[in-house]
Amino acid sequence: MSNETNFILSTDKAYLLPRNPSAFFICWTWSRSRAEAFEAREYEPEILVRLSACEDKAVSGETSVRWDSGKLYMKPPAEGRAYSVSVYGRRKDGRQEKLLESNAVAAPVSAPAPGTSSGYSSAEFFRKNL
Amino acid sequence: MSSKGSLLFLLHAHLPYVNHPEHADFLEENWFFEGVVETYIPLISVLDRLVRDGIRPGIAISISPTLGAMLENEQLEKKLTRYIDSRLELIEKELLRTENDPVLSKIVHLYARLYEEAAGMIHKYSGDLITPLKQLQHAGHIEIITTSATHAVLPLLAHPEALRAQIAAAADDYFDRFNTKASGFWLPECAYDPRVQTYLKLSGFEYIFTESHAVNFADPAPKTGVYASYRTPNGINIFARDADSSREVWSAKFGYPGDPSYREFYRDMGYDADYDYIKPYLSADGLRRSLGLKYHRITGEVDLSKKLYYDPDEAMAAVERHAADFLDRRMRQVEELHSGKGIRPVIVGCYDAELFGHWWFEGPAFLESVLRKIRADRLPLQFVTPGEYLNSCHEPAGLNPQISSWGENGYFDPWVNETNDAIYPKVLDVTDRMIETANRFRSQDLSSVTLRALNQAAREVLLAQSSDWPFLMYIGSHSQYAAARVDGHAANAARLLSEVLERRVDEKFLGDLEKKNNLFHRLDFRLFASVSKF
Repeated sequence: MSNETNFILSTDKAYLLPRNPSAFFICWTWSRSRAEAFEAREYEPEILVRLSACEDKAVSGETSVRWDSGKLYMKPPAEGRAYSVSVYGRRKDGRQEKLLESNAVAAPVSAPAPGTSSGYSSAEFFRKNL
Repeated sequence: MSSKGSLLFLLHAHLPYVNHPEHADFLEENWFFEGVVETYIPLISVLDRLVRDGIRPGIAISISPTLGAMLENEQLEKKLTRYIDSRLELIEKELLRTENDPVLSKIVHLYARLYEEAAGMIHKYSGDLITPLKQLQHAGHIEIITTSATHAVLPLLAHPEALRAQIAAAADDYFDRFNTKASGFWLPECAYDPRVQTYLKLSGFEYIFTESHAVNFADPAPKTGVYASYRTPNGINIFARDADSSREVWSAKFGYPGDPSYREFYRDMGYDADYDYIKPYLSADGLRRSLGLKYHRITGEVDLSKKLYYDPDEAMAAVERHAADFLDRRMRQVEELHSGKGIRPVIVGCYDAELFGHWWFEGPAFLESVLRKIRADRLPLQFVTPGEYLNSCHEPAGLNPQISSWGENGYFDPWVNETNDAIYPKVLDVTDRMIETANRFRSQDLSSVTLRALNQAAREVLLAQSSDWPFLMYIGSHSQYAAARVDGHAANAARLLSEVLERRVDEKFLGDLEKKNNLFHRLDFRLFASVSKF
């Protein structure tokens, strides 16, 4: 189990956040009862995280991770389009079950080196060598 | 002389809410004391001097609700007075110690004036620094706007209810503080996504500021670039930051603040002086820390130990040079746009207020010099506030800005990365619980205690969403404190919500939180209820 993420909170939820045009951040939390079901091996320990386009529901990417890893980054296949994430668990008898569905988020569109050209430097002051 | 273009300056004043009445002395509260002495009071003094000399500053200032709450907090005011008195005592000793050293003595006198000015202004306004700002706005010299309730990066709020609460709580807070409705809204970190439009409109805001690529890379990209205002489909006006004027002022490396004659921020007598001499002025833990008395100049790319002494006259000469250079560049920019594209541009410069004075010691003098030179040199440029510009410009063209921020790389990397992403499950989960509970109780008759507990839970959720915590974790400064703040606010909210559901609110716990996290006095937890349920 991951101590860092404190993934067992109160509810079965998945969230999708934009990081930049080539990365979404996905995180999820489990209710105690669902976490206990995983711990009792009612589900396989690997869950499937699937990114789908909101417009046509086309599957845009998927990856398998441990149920208790709590977070991951995924690359959105197209900039400017909206996506959401579904999380699936597999029962011992092989049935796949949709456990979580996230909010929808649009992937940002790239602009050429925006940060370097815009002169943001709040962090520059903080980072100056002592 | 009629102007060929307008300059619009927005200073964004913000500090995270740090209030620890349970401690006589708390390290992170120094952020506030340093901000007041080194930035807010010097800026108010600059504005007062300009007005006294018949020069209308015409700049905009955003004051975050968390900073506003700290400026009105009586306990922090008492601690601030102690902080200033303690520095004045040390400065008194320094004046004696350096009286035979003309170079050092000149610098110490500079600090004596800075802290005496701070003490004088606090005395003059009985500790309430909102009053002079309110007066300046009321007289039409400046325009004050607000930002999201606790400076949350809005695109990172997954729940629309949370977006609404951050924006609506800020609108109410502004009204209570300034006795008028806010027109402008500073998007924290210039972070924009299209969802914000709806909630800004619902709360009555009229304009926002975005990063330049939000406008330059809109589809279709406007021909007038960042040199005009635009309007979103639902009627929110947009100003975009001009990269050139930002870089000249902002960048420690390429901009004016890196000039060798300016004061060096990182060399401080808290590290240099004899330990026993400065011990009475350190925090209770006795560790060496910055005391705000910095006697050296940037000098160049040399080790801190090799820095030369600061020369205030030389620094002021650099200020004059830089102010002239800044205006010369703006004039050339305006001429080029005016003759080349046939437009009368508005050049928008947005800066963190704390850059002026705290980080860049000479920043307030630079601002004053720029404003005076426009008048003295009769330049065909005028400073305008956003409201004035919108009242006088043509109907803005329609535009859908791109998702963006002014952070490193232009999106949200500083606030979502491997150093800080562990906070999001906690923040999002407790937000979710707040919304669920608000929906459940929104139309019920509630006892006073239940209502107080729900309202305090809403405050705690808002505080957990502040952009400062992930940013501090990212830059590795006060990261443990930042992580503890997220954990603490999320845990406080979760406990209050559970106690409400179980009908056993611990009034002692609630009362302590109300005393400590006592901002947004008329916050109503129903701001978190789902809009569709109204």
